[in-house]
Amino acid sequence: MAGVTKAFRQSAMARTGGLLLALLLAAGLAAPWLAPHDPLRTDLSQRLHPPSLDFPLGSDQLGRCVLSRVLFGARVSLFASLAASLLALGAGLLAGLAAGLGRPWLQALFKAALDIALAFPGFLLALVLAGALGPSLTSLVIGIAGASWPWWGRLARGLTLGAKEKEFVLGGRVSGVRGLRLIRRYIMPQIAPPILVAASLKTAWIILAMAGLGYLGLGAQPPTPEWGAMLQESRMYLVRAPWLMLAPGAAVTLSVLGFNLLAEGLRDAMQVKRARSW
Amino acid sequence: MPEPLLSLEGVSQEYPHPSGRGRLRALDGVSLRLEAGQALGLAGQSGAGKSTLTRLILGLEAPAGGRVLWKGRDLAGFSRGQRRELRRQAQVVWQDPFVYLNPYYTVRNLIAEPMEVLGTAAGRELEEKTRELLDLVDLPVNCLEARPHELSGGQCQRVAIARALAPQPELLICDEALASLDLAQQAAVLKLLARLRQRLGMSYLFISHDLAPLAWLCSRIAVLKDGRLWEQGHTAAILAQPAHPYTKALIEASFAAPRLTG
Repeated sequence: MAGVTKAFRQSAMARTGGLLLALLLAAGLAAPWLAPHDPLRTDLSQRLHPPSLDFPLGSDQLGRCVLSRVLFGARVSLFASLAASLLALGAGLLAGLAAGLGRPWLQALFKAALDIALAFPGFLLALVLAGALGPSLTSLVIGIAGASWPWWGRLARGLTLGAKEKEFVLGGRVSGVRGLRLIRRYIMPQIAPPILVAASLKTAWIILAMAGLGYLGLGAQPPTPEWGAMLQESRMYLVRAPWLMLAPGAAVTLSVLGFNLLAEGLRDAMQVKRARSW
Repeated sequence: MPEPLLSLEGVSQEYPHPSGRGRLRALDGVSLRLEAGQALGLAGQSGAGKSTLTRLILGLEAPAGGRVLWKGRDLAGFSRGQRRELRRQAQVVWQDPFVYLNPYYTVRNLIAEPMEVLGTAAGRELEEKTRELLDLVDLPVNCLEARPHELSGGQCQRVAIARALAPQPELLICDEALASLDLAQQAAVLKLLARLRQRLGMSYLFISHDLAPLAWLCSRIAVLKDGRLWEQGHTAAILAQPAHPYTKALIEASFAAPRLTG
């Protein structure tokens, strides 16, 4: 992990991405204090106002403040994306480690499971899973995690297969190291940095998928402010009130950009470091 | 006659050929005996099958033919518990400490780990023994927090030796343990190994392509070429009258430049 923090400090790109994400998360956390209005309060007399002093980003078709909704939406969208990402990462990592380090039959079993799961197109699988579980944010999180864990599994398996062939892993085994200690101290330090970079990239994908599925009406239900759902509601007013689409659209774009910058920056910095020390 | 510590009986090993066709014979009917307390030198150039032999003795691979006996018992029939006991009793120092030592560890972790996982020491005793081992291989205490890449090759190999000695093994295999070091470090590590053997009374299996350190450290020598044992016997006898032209060539190559012999 020391390598990751060092890479983070070295790379301006990673720092920019990190800063962007920190700001977005902070904005979500501080939404009750930052938002000028209640994100759920409707007032039909104030509908479809263009941006003004009272409504800095305009108001929507029900007279709700768009800025307030985007701020509160950060809580829903970002935290749901992170939850889905962590869930998928956890499941995929376990499967990948089992497929790389387990007994031969276990390896074969997990490899087959991963191959089968990978045969389904991710976005479609998420759609089916989230749809089958009923429209709610939780089912969307489960659907997206369920669709993306095999991707993690494959990555973790590949990295593990390479990591366990390192001579020092053999050196550890000869000294009696095995089981969890072998995974924690010999395998994980090798595979964690690339997995972290991939996690950042994949979370960007998950934010997009989340917004996309929210746009299709899955996930958070009205009146919950969620960026994807906001985009969907805004499409009828594309011409009359384009600010409705711009605000959540920009929020999605900025968070995806943040994760991508973080990932790219870390990757570059860590590759430079590798070339220097080996 | 007491059981030898280690004996190999007609051991063969094969691997799939790199070309994908046929099998590659790495070892062919090798028979060896190593008595407790003895130092046996195994000479041979790269590709002779030396490292395969190491892996077979450590029980990391099963031989394709023949038997590997540890204290008279076949490794093939070892239970999990016996294998674990073998981990404690037979240790190895590899060629390149930089690739065989966990780069994420400090020297303290590296030396303490075998005692932790094999349960031979814990707590305060673990710390004391770690320091003792560090002292035993002539490294200063301020090395404890260093990581392998911060040490020189010689220092790093000393850490590897300390780690191998931590479980108090009965057999120490040195698989080309000097090959990655420069000449001055080679001499120092070789002297250290000789001193440790005197002090701790372990058996050594010293594997090298260079006969000079073998001759200096070992009472018996075996010569391995292309997976077969060409000759073995007392060091002095083999050096004086090599039976095989290959051994003769090896002697000439090893002693052409006079060094390490003093």
